[in-house]
Amino acid sequence: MLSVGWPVHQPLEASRGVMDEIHNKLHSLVERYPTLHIVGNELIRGSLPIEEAGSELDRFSVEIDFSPLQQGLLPKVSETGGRIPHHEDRHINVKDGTACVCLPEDYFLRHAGPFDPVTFLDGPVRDFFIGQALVARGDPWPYGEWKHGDAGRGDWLSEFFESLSQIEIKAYLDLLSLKELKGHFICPCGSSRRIRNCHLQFIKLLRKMIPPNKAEEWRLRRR
Amino acid sequence: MKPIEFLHEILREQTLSEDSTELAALREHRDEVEKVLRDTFGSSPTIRYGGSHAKGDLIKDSYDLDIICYFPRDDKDAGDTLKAIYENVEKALSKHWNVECKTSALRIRGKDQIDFHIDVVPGRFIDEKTYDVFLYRASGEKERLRTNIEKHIDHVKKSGVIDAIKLVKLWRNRNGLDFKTFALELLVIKILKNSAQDLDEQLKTILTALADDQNAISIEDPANPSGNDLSDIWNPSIRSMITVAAKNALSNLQTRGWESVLGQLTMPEGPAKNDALRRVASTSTSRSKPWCHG
Repeated sequence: MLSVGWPVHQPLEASRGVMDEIHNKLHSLVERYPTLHIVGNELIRGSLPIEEAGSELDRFSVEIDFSPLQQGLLPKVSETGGRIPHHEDRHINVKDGTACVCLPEDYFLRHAGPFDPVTFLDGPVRDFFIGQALVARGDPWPYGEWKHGDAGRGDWLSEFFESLSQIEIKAYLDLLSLKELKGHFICPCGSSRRIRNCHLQFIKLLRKMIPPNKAEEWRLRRR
Repeated sequence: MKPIEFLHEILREQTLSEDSTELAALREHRDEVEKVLRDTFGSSPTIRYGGSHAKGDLIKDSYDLDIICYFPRDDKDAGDTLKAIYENVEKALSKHWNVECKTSALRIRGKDQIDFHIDVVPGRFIDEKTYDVFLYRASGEKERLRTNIEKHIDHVKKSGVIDAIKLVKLWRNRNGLDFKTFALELLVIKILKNSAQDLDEQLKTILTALADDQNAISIEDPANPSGNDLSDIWNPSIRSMITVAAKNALSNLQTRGWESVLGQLTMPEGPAKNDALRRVASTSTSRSKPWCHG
């Protein structure tokens, strides 16, 4: 496991206009999920069904606050029906009752480009509540679970680097070791797109985990 | 399935039998809470049960029990003022559970925040002849509310529109609308007064009234029609939220049926449902693993 040290809620720089763009996309979300509705500019409230072939299997009351996106963080998801115990083993933060639906780094790696609320709901949020429905009925988490805190982050980082070729590792470390990140740099993911149009949020999170001096140290060690 | 059949089917699904696990757990928690109240305050308070179970409009998605805990008018042991009574009851309950302080009631949750579906409502009798009480109000303009739980129960029980109330409660819950049950019941009863419609038409009438003509609808507390100001539970912000939700519901209803407003019919609990959940899990393309800040 690679060691990482990073304060969890350290905000990244605010993204201008992000919320206007998100608000427009929330309409597609409530169109897709008719029992969710928009409250104000940044909040979705209602219930999320888990269905199969026109039959409902379970339903969770939820609230999703999209405002953390302004700081480059994932939306805050809460189960509001009082069904899920507030316990780390159920992936609910005891302090504020929010759900840890996924590792932000993992999400932003898988989803390049601008944030899409529908993709977020169809993906990790839905997976999370399918998992809760199964765990409540005695099954294990269907796709496994990350360890809590930095241990989980470290495991994810190890898996991420193990999944890369030597050339890709070099590309990431070359970028991470730079003191300043510019949006016009080419994304190291191999898409040939500029970072600002590709994995910008992911790279920002990665740089918090592996600051330039550490990336430089790893880069030199590989020579 | 015809709309009316769907609505009756969803009502059937939402019925909790007396031997259901939900009501068994509710009764167990009720007995624990009542014991704590008796151990703390002795035989002084009158403890009775209200809420949706007593009113007959209980649904599986929203089943609450109100444990009313009323002290005699001249008994000062639980507190000199209504506020003191409210705070002392809260203090007694907080030793055992998480307590959420609502306007007049105290919501009980487990230490892990699991909802017990129980509200404790402390109050004080106004006199020895009637069941009228004063309740403390933690928010709003007035610090006390005169009410009568028996009259509330009667008003709902004898309304003749219990099924419509149940379905509107379901709509509220599934849409996460922050709208008090008491106000909802009064609204539905008022809108459907003298209605001879079937359930499908009743629901459309309610949604249309909520979407179009809310300012014309006023509600009064049947226990104190002229004395209790309900403007804080039926205020412009709540009306506006309900209007939007009702308009959306009517629009969805027209194109996608009641299923889009109230949800699909539910598969019964059992191995077949567990298998279905596993199948749904296996079709996910994202397969995200949960994490915890730690």
